[in-house]
Amino acid sequence: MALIAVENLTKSYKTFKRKEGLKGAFINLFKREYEFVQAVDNISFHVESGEILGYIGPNGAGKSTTIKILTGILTPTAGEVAVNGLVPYKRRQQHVKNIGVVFGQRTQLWWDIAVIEAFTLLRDIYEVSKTDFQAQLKKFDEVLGIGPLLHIPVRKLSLGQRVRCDIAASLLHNPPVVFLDEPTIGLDVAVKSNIREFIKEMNASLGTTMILTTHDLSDIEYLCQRSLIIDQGKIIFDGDLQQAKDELARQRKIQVDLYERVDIDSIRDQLKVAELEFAGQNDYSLTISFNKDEISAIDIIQKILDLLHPRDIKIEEPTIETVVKEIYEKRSL
Amino acid sequence: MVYLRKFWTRFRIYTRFSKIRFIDRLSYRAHFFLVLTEYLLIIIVNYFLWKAILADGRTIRGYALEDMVTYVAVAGVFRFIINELSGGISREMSGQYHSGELIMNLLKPVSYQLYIYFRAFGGILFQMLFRGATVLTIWALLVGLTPPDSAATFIVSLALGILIYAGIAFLVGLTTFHIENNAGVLFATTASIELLSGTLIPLVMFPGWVVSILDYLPFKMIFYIPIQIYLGQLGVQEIVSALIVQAIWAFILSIAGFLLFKTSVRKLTIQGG
Ligand SMILES: Nc1ncnc2c1ncn2[C@@H]1O[C@H](COP(=O)(O)OP(=O)(O)OP(=O)(O)O)[C@@H](O)[C@H]1O
Ligand SMILES: [Mg+2]
Repeated sequence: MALIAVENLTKSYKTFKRKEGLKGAFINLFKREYEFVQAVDNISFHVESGEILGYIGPNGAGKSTTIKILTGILTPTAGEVAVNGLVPYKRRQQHVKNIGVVFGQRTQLWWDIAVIEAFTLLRDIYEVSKTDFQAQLKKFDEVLGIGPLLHIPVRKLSLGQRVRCDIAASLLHNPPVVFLDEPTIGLDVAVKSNIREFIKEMNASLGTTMILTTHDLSDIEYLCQRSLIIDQGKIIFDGDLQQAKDELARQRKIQVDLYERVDIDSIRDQLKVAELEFAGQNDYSLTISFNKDEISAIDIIQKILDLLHPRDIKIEEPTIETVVKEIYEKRSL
Repeated sequence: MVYLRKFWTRFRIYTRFSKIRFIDRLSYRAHFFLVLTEYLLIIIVNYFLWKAILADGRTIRGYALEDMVTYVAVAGVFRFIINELSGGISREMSGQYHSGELIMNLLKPVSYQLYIYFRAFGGILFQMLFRGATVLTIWALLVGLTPPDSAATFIVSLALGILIYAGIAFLVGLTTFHIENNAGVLFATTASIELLSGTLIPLVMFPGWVVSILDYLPFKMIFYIPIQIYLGQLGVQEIVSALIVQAIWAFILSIAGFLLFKTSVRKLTIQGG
């Protein structure tokens, strides 16, 4: 059985529709109109024990909503969820003992105490032994550099410092299941790569199951064998993004910058490449898309040099960003 | 034995929340003397009022001036507790609801009700040890103070009174979940508790029908019963039954808070925080 099972999950938020202005405020007193926002729309997926699942999608797609349901702080409108055999929102207290959660957007630490005090409090709450606790602290200091932050009150930390402490706090008790909702928000490059290493290492040595939400696709590329893409509450991709990228990598682009406007149709006839168009707003540059199995870039460039006097030529390979963008734009691969 | 140890470790965790609040309160020193002066002034004004009313050895419903000297001082100190609980429980809960801190507490394997209670207890400990003790010492030196008739029973009764008010304050705090802005509810309950618990005047001074209604409500259990025990106005049997009724109210209100919290959280998790 899968460690995390989501079946036909739907969440719609009911919000009170406020009318504007004085007259609107008066009407609001007597007549309440509601709006429904379908944040998650009938999604199903499973996560196996030991898997790191990437969970991506554009803003407002429903990622955080899903994570909130899985952590037990949101009740689904319809459908079923189970994490480790427990239904999170029904057995919240029991459930949260076995999970670690980072919401990069807001802190999980108590606002009014020093970091170390929050950590020792969490140590007691999760019943972590003193020796394990010391070992964890040492490890977190190496990875996250939190040593100098320990005696600062949480409310005085900078965004990146706070996120680092939040990550440490959520992993202190070595939870078997971890939910990371934008965990690398506001982190500098060095810390970010440390954290990636650390997450990978934790997953490899402890078999921790994780769901990772982020807008930084290099995190996903580095950590996740499998990713889900959600858009407007629906899952539009479930698979290996790396594989999708390799598939797309057959499709390449050459951009040719020119000194003057040319007749695109005559060039198309001579090049015998179907996909040829002016790039963007600018008539002085062309993009040529081609499949590298059918024609080589060298051939195309050779022909272009025969035909035109280009200012510059660039060859583009697709990145993970373009892959995801294509999927967002619902183009078929 | 195993359960006892488990209970003890959990208890220790919650006392750390008390300690955090205690230290937090301790760090606002300037505020300390300001509030102290304000409360002392109120006690002094009350004292002169009673001194005028009860001049020439007069008594009203059994209260003589020497009783009121102690009454106004202990009541004055108790207002620190009322203040601490309405701020540290009701207003705190409302703040946590709006800031999202509540959600973060729901993600911890900790009872939110006990977390809130113990934080407030830390605040009360601070109020009693520092502000309360200072006010009472000043009062004892300046005007005079009768010691409690039975210190142990007074303390038990006071603790139960605090628990009853904590229960009410928690219920008031929960109203935020349902009406967004609960400042009005908070103000109304704090004001009525000051009046109906006996911190303004002894409840026997009210008309008879009011007194008999108050017998069926928890308010007089908060302060009036403890101060009556302090002043030695109750016999042994009355004390025993008063303590039992106090314990019952404390229990009922906390259970009500527990149940209402559950349904309120369900509403919150359906709405989406
Ligand atoms: N408490 C709420 N009440 C009403 N609508 C909400 C609430 N929370 C989220 N929504 C709406 O639900 C949709 C999904 O929001 P969600 O936070 O899940 O998006 P997300 O995928 O995490 O986006 P982002 O990448 O910006 O974090 C959005 O349209 C949002 O406006
Ligand atoms: Mg989000």
